[in-house]
Amino acid sequence: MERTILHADANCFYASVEMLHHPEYDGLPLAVGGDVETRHGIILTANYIAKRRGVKTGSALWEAEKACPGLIIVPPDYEEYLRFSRYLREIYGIYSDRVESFGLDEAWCDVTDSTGILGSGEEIAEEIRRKVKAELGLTVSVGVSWNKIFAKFGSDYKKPDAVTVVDRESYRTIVWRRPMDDLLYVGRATNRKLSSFGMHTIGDIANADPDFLHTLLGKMGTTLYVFANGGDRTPVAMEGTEAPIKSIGNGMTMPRDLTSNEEVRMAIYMLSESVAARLRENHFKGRLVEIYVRDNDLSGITRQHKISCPTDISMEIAEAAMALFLANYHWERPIRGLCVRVGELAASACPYQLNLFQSEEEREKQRKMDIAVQEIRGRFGIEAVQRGLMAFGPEITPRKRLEQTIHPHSYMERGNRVMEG
Amino acid sequence: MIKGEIMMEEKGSERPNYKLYVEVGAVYEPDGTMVPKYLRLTPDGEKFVIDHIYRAQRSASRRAGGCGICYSVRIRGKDALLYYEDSPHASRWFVESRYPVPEADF
Repeated sequence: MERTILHADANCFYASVEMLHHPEYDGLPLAVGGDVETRHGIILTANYIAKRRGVKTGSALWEAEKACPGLIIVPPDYEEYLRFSRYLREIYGIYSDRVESFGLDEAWCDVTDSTGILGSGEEIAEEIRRKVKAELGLTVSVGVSWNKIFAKFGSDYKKPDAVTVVDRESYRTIVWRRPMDDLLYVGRATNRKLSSFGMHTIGDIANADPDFLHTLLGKMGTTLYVFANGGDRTPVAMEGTEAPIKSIGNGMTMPRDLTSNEEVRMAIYMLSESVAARLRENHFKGRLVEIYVRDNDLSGITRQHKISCPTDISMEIAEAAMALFLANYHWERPIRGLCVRVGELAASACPYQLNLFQSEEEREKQRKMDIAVQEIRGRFGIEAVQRGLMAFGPEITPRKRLEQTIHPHSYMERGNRVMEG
Repeated sequence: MIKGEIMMEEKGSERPNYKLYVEVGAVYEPDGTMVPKYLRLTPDGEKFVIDHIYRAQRSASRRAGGCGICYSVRIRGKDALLYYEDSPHASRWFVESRYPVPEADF
């Protein structure tokens, strides 16, 4: 039986939630942007009025204000967005147990088994659209198709507050005529390559020789060929079977540019403490330490290093991160942002190969110390216990809990299963 | 949409678009259902007993701004909407009011 898959996309999600909470801004251009004071100065989302006036996601706050005088910028409230994201999922969950989130504001929903009872895919999509609007005060655009790729295409096709059906009869006229970067995974580089061979639309990809695409783009070429022809068979994941956490990381934009190794050491220790705490919270240990360094020109480097034993000890993470930094950063420019991440996670109870030259007794002590510090901070605040190191630059230490970024899962994360069957 | 039916809008009167957080007395039934019984506009203000609950469902309040479980209720013979806003910052009750300051619409 042919599948019926919906892809629902909450339009201008962050901005819509803010608009809902601030009816006084009705009819005015609004954007959700980072805090100017601490220099997270970019636009995260803008409402349609602001978008029409040229405010773009990702542009700096001052750029946005220049493009659109009178723009209202509100700081993001992630907890509130998470709450609305949960409500959205609850609504999708009424129609299917196969709901797979793609970031906070998008989700696929496989309603194949509900179509007999609740009506066609289009009817269900309409009902979801109406329900979200009435209950949450947000608008969603929904795409309906027999595969995830075209469903996602459909939700992008007509916005906001609309339903687009892409079926076997219509996909050639709806999908194939659109420029190819409307297709998931056609980015700038792919676009450029294919354009140089005179290919511009999704239909061009669909009608190209798959071998030619393979030669040109490798495995991705074949994948895109399958995508463009509606041959994607990737299932929508069951509710609650999200991919396990792959890595835990914390990053921050510094209140001022860092210019010395000592300052970097301070920031790295702080981030590592927070990463270690989150590893313990989730009962993980990791073997891969990764740093991301962004300079004040906003270009960044990522470097990673495997350590000998899985760890959740802040000291070990910090030392590994610092060693990576010293080996790889040469101070061409001051540093604006840093991120420390631990990957290759395993359950903390997992047995592992001990290192002959490392005292496990000592490590256990370190670990207990981390826990003790965390408890003290939990009770008396983050400033109750600090490393001596932090005394050198109090303005770098954050006053509140570090912000944790929300990373959407990648479409390919669970492997690309398009070629099966 | 229920809102149109049960909002009592007198001609010429202002639209109720102020968000007013209020004190609510609620009862939790053994099965976990939360039933609001009365509300006060100010802590020491008059007590408005909720005579009847027509229905409760999640709903957005576009006028006052926000979203929560919306109870359509009858108070002193008049219909009103009472919202339970379960926000991560604070779980509170609010009404859509015609006035920026606590003043009874009922």
